Amino acid sequence: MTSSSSSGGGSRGFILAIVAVCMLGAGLIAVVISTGAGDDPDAVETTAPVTIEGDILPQMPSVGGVTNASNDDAIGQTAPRLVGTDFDGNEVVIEADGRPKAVYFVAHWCSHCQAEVPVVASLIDQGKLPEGMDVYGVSTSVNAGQGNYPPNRWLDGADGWNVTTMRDSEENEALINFGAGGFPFVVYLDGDNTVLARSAGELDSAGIEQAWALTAGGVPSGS
Amino acid sequence: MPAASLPVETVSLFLALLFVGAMIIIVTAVVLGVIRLATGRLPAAVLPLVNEVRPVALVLAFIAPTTAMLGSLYYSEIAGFDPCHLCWVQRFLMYPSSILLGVALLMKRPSLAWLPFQLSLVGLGVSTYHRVEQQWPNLFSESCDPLNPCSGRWVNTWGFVTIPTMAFAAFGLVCVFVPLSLLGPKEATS
Repeated sequence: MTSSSSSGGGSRGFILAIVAVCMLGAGLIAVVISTGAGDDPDAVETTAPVTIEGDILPQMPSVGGVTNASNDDAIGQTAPRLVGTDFDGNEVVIEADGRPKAVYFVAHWCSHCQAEVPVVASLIDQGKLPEGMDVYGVSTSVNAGQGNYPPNRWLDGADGWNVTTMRDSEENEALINFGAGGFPFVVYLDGDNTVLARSAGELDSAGIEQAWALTAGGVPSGS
Repeated sequence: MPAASLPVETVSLFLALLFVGAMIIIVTAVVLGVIRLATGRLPAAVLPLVNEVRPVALVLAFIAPTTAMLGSLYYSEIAGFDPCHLCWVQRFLMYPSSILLGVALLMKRPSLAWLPFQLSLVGLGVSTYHRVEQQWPNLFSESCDPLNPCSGRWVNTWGFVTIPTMAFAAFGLVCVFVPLSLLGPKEATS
């Protein structure tokens, strides 16, 4: 014990020095590795400016599933016209074009969106989308620090998402102007861009088909 | 997102490397703790190391939450990552732990370290819950919060080292080093 006590200061300093060296080493490794990492050659801009014409819709209420006139003030209101671009830079317009539509706001990091996207894509492939109705996607809430980034790689990938998809702006203006519900957030519009219903969260195949049928029929939810 | 003076990737990789070191220490400590509980004593081979670390254990306990605190301040104040609700809960547990351990060291009152130990025990639970929510968000809701979800991952180094993962390691180190510093007689080799 005596020798241990007399050498205590030295050994304490030695252990703390080891800790300091390890931390410095970790810092050095981090700098070297992250400096050496090159940019992704396939990288594209994941957000883009969006032009919004019209009044902002009320905030999506905190209800599960598809809303109706008794719990969603947006129903019956006209959704803003959106003009933006897809991941290839082609113009995408979501407007009153005489065709009913469902607009899917999806976030790459959201597990519910990751589950819903292939279901929607599969239903479209199976011809379950009602005649004369369109489906649009809006990639929003992009965050390079979160999982499943970038969104274009996800949506262009194996999930079979062949839906015209607009890039939201860095400030998520399209999402906010449509009322920003929980993801996947869907706004169902008639041909005049009037809101028929909205939904927040994952729906199963039957729920999706039911919402599409309601949209194609042009009858506001709950009427 | 505000421009960061240090790249987020570099800081995250640095913290992830520290996380690996911390987890090696924590797992080793848990194994040794189980051995001691089962046999009533530590293996003779590790006694010299344990007795060398014990005098600096409180310093090491202080370094862990302080590093975590500086890391979280970097993420929120420099990188511009908004803390979610569960991040705030972990901050409420982590920051006082750092300050109290610093006070315990400065005032040479090691017994003050028991409070950070208890805070860290709670923190271990919160960070575990947060990490589970990140891994399986479907367990907790039918939709993803578009504003600032606790299931979101601002940091995702190597696909699994997220902010609550790192917080878990910092809380875990406090839970290892504080008892090591304060509990039990020295099992010194003769």
